[in-house]
Amino acid sequence: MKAHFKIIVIGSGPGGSIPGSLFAKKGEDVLMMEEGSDIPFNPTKHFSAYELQNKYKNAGMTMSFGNNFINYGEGFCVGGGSEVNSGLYHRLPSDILDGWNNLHEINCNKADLAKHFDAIEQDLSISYMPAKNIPIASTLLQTGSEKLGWKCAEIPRLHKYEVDDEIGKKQTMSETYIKEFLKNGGTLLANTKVIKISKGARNLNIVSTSSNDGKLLDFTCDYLFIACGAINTPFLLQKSGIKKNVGTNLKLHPSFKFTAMFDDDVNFHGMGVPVHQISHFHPRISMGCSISSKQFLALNLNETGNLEMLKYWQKIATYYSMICPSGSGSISTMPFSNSPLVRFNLSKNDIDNLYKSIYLLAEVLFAAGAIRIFPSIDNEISFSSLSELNSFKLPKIHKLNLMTIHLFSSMRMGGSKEKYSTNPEGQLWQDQSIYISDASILCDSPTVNPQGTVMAFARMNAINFIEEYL
Amino acid sequence: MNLAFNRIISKSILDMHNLTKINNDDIYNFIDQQILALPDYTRFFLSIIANTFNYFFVILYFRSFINLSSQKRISILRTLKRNKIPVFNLMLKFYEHSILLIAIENQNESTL
Repeated sequence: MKAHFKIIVIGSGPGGSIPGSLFAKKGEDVLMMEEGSDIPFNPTKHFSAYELQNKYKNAGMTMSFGNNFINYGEGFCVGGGSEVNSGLYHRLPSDILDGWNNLHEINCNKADLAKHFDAIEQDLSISYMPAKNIPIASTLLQTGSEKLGWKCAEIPRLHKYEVDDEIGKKQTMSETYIKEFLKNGGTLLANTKVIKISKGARNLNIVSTSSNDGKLLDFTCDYLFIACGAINTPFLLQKSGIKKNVGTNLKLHPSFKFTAMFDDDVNFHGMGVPVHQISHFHPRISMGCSISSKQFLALNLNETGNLEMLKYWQKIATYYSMICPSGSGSISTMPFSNSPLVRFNLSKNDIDNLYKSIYLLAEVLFAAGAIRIFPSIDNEISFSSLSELNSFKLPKIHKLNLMTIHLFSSMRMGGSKEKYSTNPEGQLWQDQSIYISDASILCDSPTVNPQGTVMAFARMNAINFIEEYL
Repeated sequence: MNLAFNRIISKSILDMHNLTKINNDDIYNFIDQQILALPDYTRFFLSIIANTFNYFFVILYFRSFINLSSQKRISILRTLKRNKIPVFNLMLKFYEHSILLIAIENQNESTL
């Protein structure tokens, strides 16, 4: 295999595969590297233990430290997060972009960004689920919201339905942009971990890698696009000696879960993806239904000491409330360790919002007809009415089991090289031949699922790069 | 990581939850892989906690945890779970979660 490429893209998730496919389409000499394996998407194994072990970073056992342990999950396979998530899609709310423009001076034109959202929606067949496929557990959220007068809507997904096909196919990166990338002559290298990046002769970037079988290889390139996610992009740069404003402002969306039991059946094998979200309290709080396969219900029920309820699993589903925090965290290296240390602290305001979101979620679940709810707290506890919950003093924050799959802003883009790691085009202030193309560059919480926003910025920055340099 | 300890604690957790009609080898392989996948510092601390836990019972019963009777081991795990003894509770949570996940999934597949 040759050792020099014009462009190397590290990471094959939504942030990496879009620029990769655009460069390959332009006929450029481009290599895409991925640390995880190339495992075809299999809907029957979606949301399974197999998937957790083979497609998640550290098999999903990663957590941030701070005033609470927050368990976080990141995709770790060709296609990245798009292979393992629910594929729900949001545009960046317009008022949030206004805030970023004002506060962080990114000068992003709304109409320009909208063109990239349009293109992505076209490429990924963003669509709504056929009504008869929507899980009951998901529609119950709408029922509860209607009773309370709250706003609740179905969220579209990256999913393609052909004529007379109501099952459809998830439009993961491996199914779309990576296929395009390979078709146009791009080179994909899976199972390849980037150890560090450095500078060589003629200012070329050297990417030192190690493959699964222990082979050490160096590649060089003129331009480098890094898309390893909000944790591993800053970690790689720190290991490579690039540290200014790197990994310093991590944001995430902490979520709390309730497992709820209903009188009637709401769950079945292969229930699929719940698609409703309550946006009534947006941007501070949002709520939705989680993946509720039997094995994941078992974990939630076991946490609350109610595993025996699993025999009624068809009447049970899991729901989450999620907040947009004002607190922040960091990513750092540790001596003798090859794993990032992630810290995140919730602010007092976040903690208040989190407790508030717990009561709101309970309220909507009871309005939807739940007969018993099990909070994600290591306590043998459950509630059968809102008044029971109201009379109970919830434990301190460190006793709540929190998790997240939305991580971002660890290398924010912005108009000043003193305060930010990258410029508004995603180019490192410190080294203009290196681009960051993932959730790390988002200025702050997009207040919704970040995947759509990441893809739109990745596309916009890649096209600007093509116009300027190729 | 002590392989014998992984096997014994996994078997005890399966017995504790009456998850007996499944292939134990699948469970053991899954647990081994989960431990290998942990971030290196987490794996290091888990190893220290597991070894401390295993040998702690030499003081009480003159036998390590893995050499205790099956009933005794289950009773210890139930006490640990009920009383949420710091640190050891985290270790139990790791094993219990991993085992429940793969065991219930295997059970599902065999009943589908």
